[in-house]
Amino acid sequence: MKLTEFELNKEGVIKEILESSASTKLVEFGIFPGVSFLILNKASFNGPLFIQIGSNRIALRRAEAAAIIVE
Amino acid sequence: MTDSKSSKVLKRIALLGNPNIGKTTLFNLLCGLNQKTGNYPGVTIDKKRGTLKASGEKIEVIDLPGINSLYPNSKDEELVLDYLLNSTNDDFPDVLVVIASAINLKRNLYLFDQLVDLDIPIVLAINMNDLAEKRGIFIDEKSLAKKLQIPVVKISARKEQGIAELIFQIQKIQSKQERNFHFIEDDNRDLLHQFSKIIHCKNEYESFLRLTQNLYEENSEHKKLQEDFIAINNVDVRKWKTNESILRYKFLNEIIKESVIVDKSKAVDFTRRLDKILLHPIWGYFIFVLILFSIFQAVFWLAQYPMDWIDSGFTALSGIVNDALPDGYFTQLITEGIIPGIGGVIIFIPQIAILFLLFSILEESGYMPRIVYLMDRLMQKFGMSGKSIVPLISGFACAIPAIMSARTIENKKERLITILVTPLLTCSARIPVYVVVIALIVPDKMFGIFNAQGLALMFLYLVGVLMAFIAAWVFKKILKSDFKSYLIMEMPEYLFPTLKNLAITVWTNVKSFVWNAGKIIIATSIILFVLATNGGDDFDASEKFVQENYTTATADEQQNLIASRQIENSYLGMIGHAIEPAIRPLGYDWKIGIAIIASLAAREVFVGTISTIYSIGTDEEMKIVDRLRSEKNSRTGLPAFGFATCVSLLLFYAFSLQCLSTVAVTYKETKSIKWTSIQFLYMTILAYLVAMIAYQILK
Repeated sequence: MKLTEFELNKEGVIKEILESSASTKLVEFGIFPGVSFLILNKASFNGPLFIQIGSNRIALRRAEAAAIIVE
Repeated sequence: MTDSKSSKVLKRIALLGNPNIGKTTLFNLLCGLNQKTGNYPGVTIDKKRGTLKASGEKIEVIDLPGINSLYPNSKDEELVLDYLLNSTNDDFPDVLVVIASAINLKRNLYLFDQLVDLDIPIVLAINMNDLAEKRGIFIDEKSLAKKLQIPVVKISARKEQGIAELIFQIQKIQSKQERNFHFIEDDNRDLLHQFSKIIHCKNEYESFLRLTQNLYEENSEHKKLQEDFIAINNVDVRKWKTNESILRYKFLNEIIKESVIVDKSKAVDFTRRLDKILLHPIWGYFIFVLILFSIFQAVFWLAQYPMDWIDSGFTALSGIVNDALPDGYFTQLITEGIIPGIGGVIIFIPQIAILFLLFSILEESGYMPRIVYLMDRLMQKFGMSGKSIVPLISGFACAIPAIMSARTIENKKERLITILVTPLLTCSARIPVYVVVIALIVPDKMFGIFNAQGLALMFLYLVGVLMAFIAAWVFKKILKSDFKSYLIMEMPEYLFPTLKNLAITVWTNVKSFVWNAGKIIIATSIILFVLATNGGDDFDASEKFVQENYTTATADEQQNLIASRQIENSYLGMIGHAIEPAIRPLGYDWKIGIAIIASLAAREVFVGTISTIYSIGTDEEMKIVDRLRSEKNSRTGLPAFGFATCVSLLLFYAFSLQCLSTVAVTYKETKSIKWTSIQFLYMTILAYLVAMIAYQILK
């Protein structure tokens, strides 16, 4: 499923990063297959998401999050 | 690279790291007040510079903007990479000091690991250990240093710990040890080496960056070499980049595993708890609005008392100087020209200091990136990014640093729109004009729990914000963009702001406000004074004219009549009368016209100018507001500052771009005469039209 569809405050693992203009940037921030994550917050009005990877907190838009396949 | 045997004098170090990890705190700690900040027009502050004095040596410290990686996506990152890849430049550093946060070590070491491959001597400073330990993260810096083969120092920039050791390591380091690189798959090494030979580059990682990035100018010889090489060898640039990241993280995982102990049983995650409140889907927005509202109210009433003291002080000073110096043209120049002019600037120091103080608290505490997060969706609707909120909010203090901070916005169109609309936000230089004009038409009464004048000021801030969003929306509709926009950013820990950082920010900003405005104001007040006290034949004949035509008037009345006739016929009066037709529809008389012209270069000059113009020819020392209130329009006989005129004046100053420094910085940042002119013209036309409509309706 896509990261955008994943539940709040539940731990998951990243499966795949779909090709997009931001995909190399995602990998740079340590978002790549095999890494576990937690969604901390979803902003109102379809705003960005806020995820935690290790002790790192990263904000990203739904468009970018939709390119991240998780389980 | 430096030969390890010959000892080279350490001249320059550069501080580098990801954003929000205490780099500026360390810079302030190393340099104190020995730092150069941007003095506005035309001065570059791409990098902040300072001087560190250590064991009798002076070392230049360069503070580079915080970057995510050596893959530039924003103007900021481009500038840093450009600086690091030009080793022949005069200001190339002898040593890089890379700062990492203990909380986020793996992610911060990613940039560090890229920098190591550039073969510049490097020292790693690990900051925020106290916070990390509270979160259950413990770092063994000795093991880390051994594995990385690089000096590692644990510091606390906030508590000023470990700094002596850091300086010692910086001075000791002479060269960097070679290491086997791990940023590329074995199969591609030969290919990369071929490219290094083609472009004559000694450093393999530099040629990797040059091969995979758009660093060369369009249509240049090198650009063609790069494109041909990629095409002939079928290089999958995106794959190379992705693999680099994965390989580096793999390497770092191994290192971290053995040097960092994580014990979550002791963890207290304060930031996460606070985020639950501050990023709450409903309360988060409510709190944000409340914070902004409190800031503006605070600026207004906290500053009231010191402002009154300064105003009375300057009025008294004029009197004292007048009594102490012998009568004459020079004394008059000082008491009626320079002192009121300078007083008009000094009086706003309290408000500007408070504004800068409160904004730097927002920035330092880590709340600013949360605002970016909350506002991103809304900003996108207006053609901007969540990151535009930082320039827009700092635009309330000053448009110049604000426009420069738009560099962090990756998308070119979003960045341009942000730059174009930022000067519409109420900067601190407008405060002097607003405060004086508001005082003329709004009574100093309490309105519930709010001060009525404070509310009027709030309203003007809102007008600015509203217009900025309208303008942004219009630009969004007009401009085309080929670049896809994205937002990926780290959320820093919440931190208690350090007094030292706050003090330095306030001090450097107030200093440059006073210095820059002061220079212009002294010059304009002298010019105005000379123009107002000299004139043609009619000016010289004023005394005779009054004595012949007003024979029944008392000596005092005659004196006043002479003074007003003189100023009307002075050179200044002639200029004013010449432009009056253009500004009459806005409700201004020629004296206001002079003040607007004088403040074309800097709006804060307005108050100094009107107080100079109106004090010429009068012996009384009065406060600025009282003087303006008693002033009559010489053509209509009505008060010169009536309600309609004042509203028109407020709106004119809200929208017009009367700031030479902003024009200069927009040009510098956009490198485009077209956009610089568009910004100036749309704001000026907007200001004129809105002010005229307001006056015509209200008069």
